[in-house]
Amino acid sequence: MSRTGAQLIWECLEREGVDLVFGYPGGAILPAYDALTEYPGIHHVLTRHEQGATHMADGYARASGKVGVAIATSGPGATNLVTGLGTAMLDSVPMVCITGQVPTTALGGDAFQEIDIVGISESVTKHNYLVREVDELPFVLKEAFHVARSGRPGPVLVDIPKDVQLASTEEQWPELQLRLPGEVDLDLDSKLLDQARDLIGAADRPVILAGHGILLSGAEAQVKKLAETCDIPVSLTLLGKGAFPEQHPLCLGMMGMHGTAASNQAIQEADLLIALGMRFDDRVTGNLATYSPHSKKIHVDIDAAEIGKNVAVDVGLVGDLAPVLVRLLEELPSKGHGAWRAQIGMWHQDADERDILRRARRGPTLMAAEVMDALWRFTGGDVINVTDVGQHQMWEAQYFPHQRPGTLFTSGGMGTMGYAVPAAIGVKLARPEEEVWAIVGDGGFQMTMCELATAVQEGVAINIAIVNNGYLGMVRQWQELFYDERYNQTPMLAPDFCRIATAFGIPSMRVSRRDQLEATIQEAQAHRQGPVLVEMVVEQHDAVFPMVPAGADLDAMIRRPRPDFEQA
Amino acid sequence: MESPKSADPQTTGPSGAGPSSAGASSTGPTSKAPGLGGRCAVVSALVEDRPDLLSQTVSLLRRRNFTTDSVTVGKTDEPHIARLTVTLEDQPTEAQRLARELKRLMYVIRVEDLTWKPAVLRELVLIKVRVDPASRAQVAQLCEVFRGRIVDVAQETVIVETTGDAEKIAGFLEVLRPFGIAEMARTGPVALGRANQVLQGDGKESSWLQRRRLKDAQQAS
Repeated sequence: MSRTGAQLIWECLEREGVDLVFGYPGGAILPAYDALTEYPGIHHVLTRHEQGATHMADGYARASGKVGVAIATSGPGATNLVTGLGTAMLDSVPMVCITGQVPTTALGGDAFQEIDIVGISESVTKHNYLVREVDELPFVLKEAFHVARSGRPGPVLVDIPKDVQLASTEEQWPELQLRLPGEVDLDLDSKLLDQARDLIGAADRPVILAGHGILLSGAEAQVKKLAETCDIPVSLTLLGKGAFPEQHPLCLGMMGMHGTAASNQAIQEADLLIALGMRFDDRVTGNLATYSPHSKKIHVDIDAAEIGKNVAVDVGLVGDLAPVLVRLLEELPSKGHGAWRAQIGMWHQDADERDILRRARRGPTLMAAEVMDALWRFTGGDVINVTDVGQHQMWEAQYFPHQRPGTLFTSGGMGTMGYAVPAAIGVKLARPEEEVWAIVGDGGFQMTMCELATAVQEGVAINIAIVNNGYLGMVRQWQELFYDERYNQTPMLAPDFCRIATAFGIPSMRVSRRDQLEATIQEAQAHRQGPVLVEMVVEQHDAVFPMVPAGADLDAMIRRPRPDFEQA
Repeated sequence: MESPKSADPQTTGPSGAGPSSAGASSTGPTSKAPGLGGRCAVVSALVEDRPDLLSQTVSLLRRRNFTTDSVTVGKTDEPHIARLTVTLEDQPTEAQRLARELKRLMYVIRVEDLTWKPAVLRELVLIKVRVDPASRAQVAQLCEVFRGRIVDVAQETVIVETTGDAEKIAGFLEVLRPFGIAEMARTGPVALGRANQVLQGDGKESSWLQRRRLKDAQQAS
């Protein structure tokens, strides 16, 4: 049976189990859109910007574990994908982006809306393809999905010229054994496992560094068992939140630049770090030269290039975390670390005394930390949060404990402002039974607020909490601490967010008093038919503490000053 | 200890166990350890010979912050399989990182770090030398010493071809320079590990290669 390239695209998606795609049509992708009508099993979400399509596909992929799909036309449609591809690349999110391209006969001639998206996207994709003939298409598409989800997941882009979409082929779906050259063989050296066990057995002050890889591998149970068997405290990366229950007595909270004092001090004092599915990002390590100076290091990651990339390790295990930990646990004797735990308890206590929540409730204005705390308490804590980038992202990470996997999605590696609202739409579409909150600053919200229309059109019932402090708060904080308080280009005029919501037909409320927080959050929760927006007006000049300045030693934390914040 | 140049296959055969040649002794001291001796990082890889191979490789080298001295790609005896050689001048310690990063590319079949291994490294150079009737013979004589060849003769220039490692080529250039070097072209080094060790695939193939093989089979029948 003969089919066109356009038909092959959708057929491939069906064969890969895709029933939802995000996209934006245009000239060079029109043959594909025209053929879409023949495939009623695939629902297409029309976004308001191609960047929104990538973040929705990204959120959908993170929340469902499936490959997210975004579609755009050539030229500006394709370049608008780049931010979303980079976001997915740095956070290891499986995604396939399909772009239209000018016909092969026009390639290289600066045709209207021609851009070399394969060249542009090389560094923000795991792999990418330009399909030059229709017979290639079944091979390429099948491989694209395989690449996106295998090993360390990541985004893949397939650029398909218009004439390739229009051409017909008799080509059948290939029976391919897809084991690609770059794929890592995951058979472990048992000697390395023995070495890891010996290090764990000999350690007096061990810390587990729990990263995103735990969630990607589904290794939460093994991590919990490892921690409990050997009485090892667990520190989380931002994307590792949910990998270990945060209210567990062994949990230290987040590590790194805005991590808990207990986490960072424990890491610096540790004699063993067990890094699981994390990559020693600079926001996690601070100054590499002084990072955890006394510790041996075990590093488990599925990407061999991560072992020893930033931090030299004593034992590097390349593999899929869950099976690696299963084998590690086979012969691991239990252990206790009472003295180490007691020391950590004292650091926790000191941090508690400095906590803004202890003092905030006396002042007249709402603190952002209070907002996070209120969201946690009044929602019952068992919701999915999608955060944007900046201060609110860190406050959420500090004040909203996540007890189960897959309940926080955020742009960690790339730090993409504007991520939260579109990503939350994708998350909600993947997990419609869950309550989903997009938590976003006033700056980030304005970057992608056009996607409100998408949420309304699709009836996606997300709750959007805008934490409005009238500033690009995190940048303001850096200006305050490191640029002599010159607040250049950070005070930001915002529109009336509630009237914006009204214009989109979205119910909204504004809250600036703590005694109204509970009622407002509950009112938002009551809307289940479509999106709802809550503007939370908070203190303008607050900063996220503790803070390790960029590149500083991890234990050189700037703590929240002990004198009352309100007097400052 | 033998010098790498003494093991040139032109004089000693593939086992590389022959005596020193005249060419080697004129190009400088021969006190290096066997192999490339770690002067520069040399990483060799067996790769699928795809159209995007070179651009993807160069893109990786750039974004991972390598200062690359040379990248060469050439076909092998096996259809659709090429060999890639990357060298980083004066950065032997970067070789392992380079090998790890190259392995992430999905068309890279196997990677070998030759930096400290016994290996043969060669580069081909074409040098256009200015000559007059008197100096032409001198150039020809030097070519004999350095095992170069004159491959083009014109009134005012000759093109000299030679192969060797960086040191031999530098030595040759040094003696040619007084005549006047009009222009030159170098291929960048290629390398192979010595003796019986052979870089082989492990049966993993991309859909691209599988499709090429299907097509080859169809054409053959």
